[in-house]
Amino acid sequence: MKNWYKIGFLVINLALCYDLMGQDMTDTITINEVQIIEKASFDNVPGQKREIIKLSKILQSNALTISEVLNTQSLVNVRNYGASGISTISVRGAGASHTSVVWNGFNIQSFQNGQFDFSTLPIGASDKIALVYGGTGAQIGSGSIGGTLFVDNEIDFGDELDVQTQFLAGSYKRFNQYASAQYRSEKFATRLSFLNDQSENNFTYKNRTRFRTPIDTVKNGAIRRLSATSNTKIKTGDRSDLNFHLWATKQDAKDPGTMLSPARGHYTKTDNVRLAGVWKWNHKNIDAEVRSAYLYNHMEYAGDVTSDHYTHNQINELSLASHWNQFLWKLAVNQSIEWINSSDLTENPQRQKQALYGMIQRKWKYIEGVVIMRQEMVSHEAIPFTPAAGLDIFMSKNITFSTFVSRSYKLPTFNDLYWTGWGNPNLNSEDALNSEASIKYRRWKERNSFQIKLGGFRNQIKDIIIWLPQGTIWRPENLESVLSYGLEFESEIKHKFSSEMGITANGQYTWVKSMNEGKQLIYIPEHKAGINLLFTYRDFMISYSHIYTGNRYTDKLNMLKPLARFNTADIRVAQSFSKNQYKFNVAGAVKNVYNATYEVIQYIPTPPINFELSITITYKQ
Amino acid sequence: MLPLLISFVGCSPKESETTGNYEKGILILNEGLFNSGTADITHYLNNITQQNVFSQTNNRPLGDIGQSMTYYDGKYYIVVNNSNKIEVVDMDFVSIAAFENLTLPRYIQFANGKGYVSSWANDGQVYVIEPATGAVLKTISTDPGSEKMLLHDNMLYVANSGGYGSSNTISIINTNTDSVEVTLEVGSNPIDLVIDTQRNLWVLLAGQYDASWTEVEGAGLVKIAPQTNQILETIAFESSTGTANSLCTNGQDLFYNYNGGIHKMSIDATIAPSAPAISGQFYKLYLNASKLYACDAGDYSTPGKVLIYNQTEQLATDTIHAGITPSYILFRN
Repeated sequence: MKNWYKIGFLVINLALCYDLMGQDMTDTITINEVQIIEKASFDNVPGQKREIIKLSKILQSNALTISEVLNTQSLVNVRNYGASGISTISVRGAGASHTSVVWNGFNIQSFQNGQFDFSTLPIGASDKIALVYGGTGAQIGSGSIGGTLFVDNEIDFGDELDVQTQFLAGSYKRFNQYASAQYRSEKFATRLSFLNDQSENNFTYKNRTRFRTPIDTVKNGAIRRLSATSNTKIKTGDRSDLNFHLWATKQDAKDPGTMLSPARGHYTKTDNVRLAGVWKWNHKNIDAEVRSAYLYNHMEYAGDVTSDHYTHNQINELSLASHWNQFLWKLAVNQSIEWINSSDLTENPQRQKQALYGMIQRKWKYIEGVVIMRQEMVSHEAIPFTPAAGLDIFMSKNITFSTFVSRSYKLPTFNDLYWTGWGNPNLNSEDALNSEASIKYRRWKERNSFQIKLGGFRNQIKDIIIWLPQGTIWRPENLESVLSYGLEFESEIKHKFSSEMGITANGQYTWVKSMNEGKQLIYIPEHKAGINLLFTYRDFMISYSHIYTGNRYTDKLNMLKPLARFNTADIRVAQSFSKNQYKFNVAGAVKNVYNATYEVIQYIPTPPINFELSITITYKQ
Repeated sequence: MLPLLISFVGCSPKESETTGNYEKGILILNEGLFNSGTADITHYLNNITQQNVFSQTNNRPLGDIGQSMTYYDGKYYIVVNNSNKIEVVDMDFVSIAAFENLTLPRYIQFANGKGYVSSWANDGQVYVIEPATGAVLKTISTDPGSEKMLLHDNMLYVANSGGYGSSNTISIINTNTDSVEVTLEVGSNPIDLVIDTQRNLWVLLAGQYDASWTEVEGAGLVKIAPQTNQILETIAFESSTGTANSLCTNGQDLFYNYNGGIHKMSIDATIAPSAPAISGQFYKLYLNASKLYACDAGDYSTPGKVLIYNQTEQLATDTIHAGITPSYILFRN
């Protein structure tokens, strides 16, 4: 039994080790749709499914997190682990550690536990967001087996000073304050922002696990997140500029337990500092970049046992790219070193990585194709060569066929390798082969547009690392294999009634089988669907989003009754108005409109119907 | 004599007759997977096995980490460790009450009309509770990791297993005064205890991993004279890659789970056997009616089983299919 606590703690630790919170000013009032960004590759990779995270003005609350947006706007499966718990995403049936996050071109997925907490990333932290489905190992490197979220900050030269502040209040004592300032001139541009987000999360729910099913109140569920970001661009010559990005966060999250295990005063404290510098040079058709980043994380967990972890990651990259006519190529070398000081890991381990990356892309009249190659050395040993190739075939003005094939991998985490006494230093990388194909039909007129897309995918992951008992301890081994396959369907209709009035409707549906030894993986719903409706009139907007999540198994053999399917819906309204150089935006949200009782993770309660109200003031000079 | 009888059969308390669907047979408490709420009861009688008895009867999960269960006064008391509670059910397994005011409870014993619940909270303690209501009458501090308890001559012997750290003591509580009379140093992380036919107390030392978690040292057996609390013998085990657990006796022989299997040792022996009598990786071990019941938890995330052995034969004579991580067995003969 004693070891269950260690395993339990390990699981919690795997889940909680990486917390972060960030905020960076984005002029959300003026940007209707954020754009795709792929620093580690070219912007448009033929054949690869990439989803630009479209944020209408109504959704542009700086307090809204990426996980909330992805849940309603994409096909991914979002898992929220409680009021103050982490939020992970599963793309195409892959695991949470198979989704990497690339911030300004640098992979910030934890090398200690392989995860990223998406609830800590507010949409205001980025100027550009895109989700790429499927393997991007050839472009990004380790961990990008299921998908990759690209989060980017951009600031450009200009002639402007603007200041923005936002206040938000919500149910369960949620308060959020945001402030930012931006100055732009011909040779210098900088933006600084701060965020404070806190909530008691003390909602009530019917506890179906307790004797006589009483109404319980979540205790010890408070969370507080502070963050500061800075983005600066300096002109260093006619052909070059220097960019700096800083994202510092501090989070204090208490552990409310579950319906089954009451809170015992446990908590997690997390600090993050992410610092990146990029020098860009351009001459005619040649682009060069020198990039460097330092990523720091400190996590302290206080529970039945305590632990303390400090991770460091230093990354340097040099890239050269050229394009002429319809031909593009890019070559990059990457060097990084990861190291950790941890109360639970042996002897402060470190890992060095070097990667060589090449990409050739060519466009013809009806076809655009790409070939990508990556070879990485990890601690002076070559890991398997990682290629990828894709095609877009423009079958007509309205129809495009796309296909993409790639190999991806995930290195063992430091917890897998070095957990004191339990880690296994002889682990291999997890190895994945992804393939996908889709067909898109698009039609547009002056006032209307219509788009429909149908795709299928297959993802075979081998040598998955799982922890198994060996006597009274547990050890990780490369033993499991998962085959995921499925279909994705998306459609969107836009109609403008007039220059001032319009409506947008989109819908998504995905069917996913993610099988290990003939059994569906836990918490992967076979069916997920959603619709979003947006109506705009002048500066008024109202939106409705509805998500259906199908049954999910919670046990490995699919023997137990699955966790019940559920529907959730949110309504948001916003009104903007301007006076002189000031712009005001008042927004409200009703979440879980139908007051549904549901569980994303079994026995972790979710809030009933709840409300938010915010006001945003922007000053521009 | 009753406590002695209880000790002889290792882990098989028998009490008065009460009718109900689950009054007779073998009740296996499945610990379940941590944080998954899969703890439940398997019932086995006349070659018929019934799974998920608690959840099917009460339409709700038993809780998180089923730790132990005991029969008392016509009711079963099921200790659910990570849910901080004891569920009380009747002989049909219908919920009667839930005592939710206990932190990290482990085992429960009854004496003098009171319940004694060992707990890992506050660096080790024993709750004294009112059996009908669960009201805490008193909390007795022990050393870290209060675990198995044994009642003998109105004295409650508590193995302090170390909990999240380490301990080398047993606490001896007088159930008339509900206070610790003696704290006896016995060795590394005491985890279980029994009484033999010579009325000597045996304490199983789990041992402790070294700093690199590669080797367990300090495991062994300690023989104590309960009348004087004098240590009569300390028998050290060879080092191993896993800790020891589950001490049972038929009065003449001791059985315990350690180092790749079930070891058998006479109560007159002065050195521990170097090889197991029955080889295998077992989670817990019980003895009833001269048969050994070894819990095989498998991968701890899918249903396990209980293998039934004669005391020295290598091959199991029977198998009971159980739930996830079978960990405690209550024999209702």
